[in-house]
Amino acid sequence: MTAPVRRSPLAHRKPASAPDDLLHLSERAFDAKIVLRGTPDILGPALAEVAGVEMPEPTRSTTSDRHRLLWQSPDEFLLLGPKDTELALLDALQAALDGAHVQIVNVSDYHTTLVLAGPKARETLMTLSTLDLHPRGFTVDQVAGTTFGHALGWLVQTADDEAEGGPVFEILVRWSHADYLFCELTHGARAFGMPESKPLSGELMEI
Amino acid sequence: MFVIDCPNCGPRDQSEFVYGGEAHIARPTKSEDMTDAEWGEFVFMRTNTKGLFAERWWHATGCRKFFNMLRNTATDEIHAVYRIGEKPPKVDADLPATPAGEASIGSGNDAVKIMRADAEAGS
Repeated sequence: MTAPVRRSPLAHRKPASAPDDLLHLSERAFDAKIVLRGTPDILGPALAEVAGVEMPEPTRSTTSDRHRLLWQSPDEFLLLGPKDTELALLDALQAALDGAHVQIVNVSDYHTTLVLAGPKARETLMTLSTLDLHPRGFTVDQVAGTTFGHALGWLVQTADDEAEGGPVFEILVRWSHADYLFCELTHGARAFGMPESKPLSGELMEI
Repeated sequence: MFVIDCPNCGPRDQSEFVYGGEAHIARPTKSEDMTDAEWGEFVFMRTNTKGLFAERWWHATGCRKFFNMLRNTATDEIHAVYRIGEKPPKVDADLPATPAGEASIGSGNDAVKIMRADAEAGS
């Protein structure tokens, strides 16, 4: 018998959907997440070798087949990868950047990822954020750190507005804020028929 | 509330930023020779300018970097945003005019000031 070693912060919530595929909200926990501090010219070759990603422009992100690299500040980048690859990534990056003036931290368990997809995703985010979320103002692969209600999060658009099923946004949010943000997003999307999220067990959170 | 043009992230709402106080205050290099009065001057005394004011801001939710800003404290008009370590740029602004045409210092309650001036002249 295998013991569960990790429990996602939204294990008690089912993915939520609005009717007619207007909006889908779900959690994707346990992605590999690694923060890299350092200048792009030092980090660039190592990241190209280990993850196959180029260094992103400010407020943008770049992708390879398995990884995504988010710009967070001029000397801070967040590397995302598939589940359970964080230790291998960490070892590879530490080997590639051995002796360089950088910091590499595994933050896989700091954040979880909320995936918001559908034609009404932008309007739902607009209820919680002060960002310019017009399709001209926020485009695919763009990254922004901001507040959603009271929760801090990093927003990245991973699929274009013209894509099948509408745009897809991912919000990287602190583990302990994830439940609040999930409820706020379902609450913000109630105009599109999104049902209020009820936990599968435990205490009912009224917001 | 106003929009601040972060030098790293672009225009964002003021709610994402934290005020960092007056800019261009250098930390004393020979602190061991300073008197308490000089320390107090460095730590506590600020100019409290009405009009064009150089101040630091911190983009707390975005890039988490400090930067400098030239802002008219009377009108909240932002004249320049520049990086830490840079000198404040020259700005061509009609200062310190306020929307109501208040006095350049004080609360703007001119009636009170005129009364005080009269009292001083008479005594």
